[in-house]
Amino acid sequence: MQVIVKFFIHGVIVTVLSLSLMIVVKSNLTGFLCFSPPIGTGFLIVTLAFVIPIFVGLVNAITVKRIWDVEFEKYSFWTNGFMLFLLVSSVHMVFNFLLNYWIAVLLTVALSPLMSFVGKYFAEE
Amino acid sequence: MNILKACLSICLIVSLILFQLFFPYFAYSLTSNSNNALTVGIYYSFLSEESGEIFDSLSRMKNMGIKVVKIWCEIDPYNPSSEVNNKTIEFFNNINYFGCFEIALIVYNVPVEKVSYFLQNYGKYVKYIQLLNEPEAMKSWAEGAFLMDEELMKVFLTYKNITDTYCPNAIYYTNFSPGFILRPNLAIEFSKYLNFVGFDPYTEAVHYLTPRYIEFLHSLTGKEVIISEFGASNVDEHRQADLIISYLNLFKKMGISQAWIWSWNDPIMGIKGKLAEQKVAEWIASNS
Repeated sequence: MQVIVKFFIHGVIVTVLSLSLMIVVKSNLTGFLCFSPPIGTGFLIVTLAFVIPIFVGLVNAITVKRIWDVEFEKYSFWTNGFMLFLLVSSVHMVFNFLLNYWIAVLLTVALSPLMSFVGKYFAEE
Repeated sequence: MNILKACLSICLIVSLILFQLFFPYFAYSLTSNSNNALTVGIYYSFLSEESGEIFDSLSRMKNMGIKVVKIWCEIDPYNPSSEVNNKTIEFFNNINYFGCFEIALIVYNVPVEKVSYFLQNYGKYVKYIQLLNEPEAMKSWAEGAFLMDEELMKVFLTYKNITDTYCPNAIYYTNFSPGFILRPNLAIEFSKYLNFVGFDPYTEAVHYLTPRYIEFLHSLTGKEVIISEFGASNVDEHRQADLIISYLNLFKKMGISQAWIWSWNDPIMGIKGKLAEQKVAEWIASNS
């Protein structure tokens, strides 16, 4: 597989996963916040800061191992996942400020090789 | 994971969190949205004025370009000739005379008979009704003893029923301080009965986070967000004027339709006779 294809596939997996989780959380925001306030807000923070990052970090590590065939760092799921999730959501936020929401989603996916580069660099041992 | 990568990833995480918090402010500051018409209003405590001063104050507000005057529900239903009632009569006579102001009435912490009596007599002048005041921080019997959600909703609906009777065409809103993020369910619940929601940013720290708060409030309620109170202490007149003008510039760029200053004649926050009065007048003249 060519390097550019590897970057693209890895990037799309990480970016689409992060964006999907972001959209799911956003569409359930009211449910989170209305659940026994402020306990629901606490759940939202835990979801955004721990559950999603660990999941994204895990998927990133497995993808790095499968696509790039390199050993991944076993103790940094959370930081890698958090960084990737923040990076994807920040890029989307900038595009969303300038353009339509769904065009911003498409442009963020188009920048997925960048996410792949960051994900690989920090995940490999 | 080597130490360099660990440090770099932590730095990136912190930077991205800060970027997400402050990006909307800087993005709006750099944009130019000169087509948006921002209506400026002000809170006016006419009871603390001498009787002749009300005409003078309203005339100065008119000259500044103020369109909305926000007032408390001040009336004495048991003594028609009381000083409170005389000043209220004088205030509305002047409002009638000038004919260019819209009235926003704050209905909060006031007996229901007072609200009924006020609206019976002056309901025709009232365009906007503010139900409660920053409900997320409303106290019951002591500092820190916040009213529960059910208690707040009960008070809210009691006021709403009265105001609906006397002012069926009024535009309703409730204002929220930045503390609403701790009780966001209140904004969601109340917004079902409101035409728009108000946000009250004060201080310089909140200034940078205002676009974030407004976006969040709008996404929660699905209603238009206006600025129902903003201002600064007049201890340093220059600082007060600068902060109010930079808030006005930000609101205009964000496409906000109404921004109401707190306040005209408050001893601490008032702009009457201060540099801010002149600066706001100049700002309105150059942005209308």
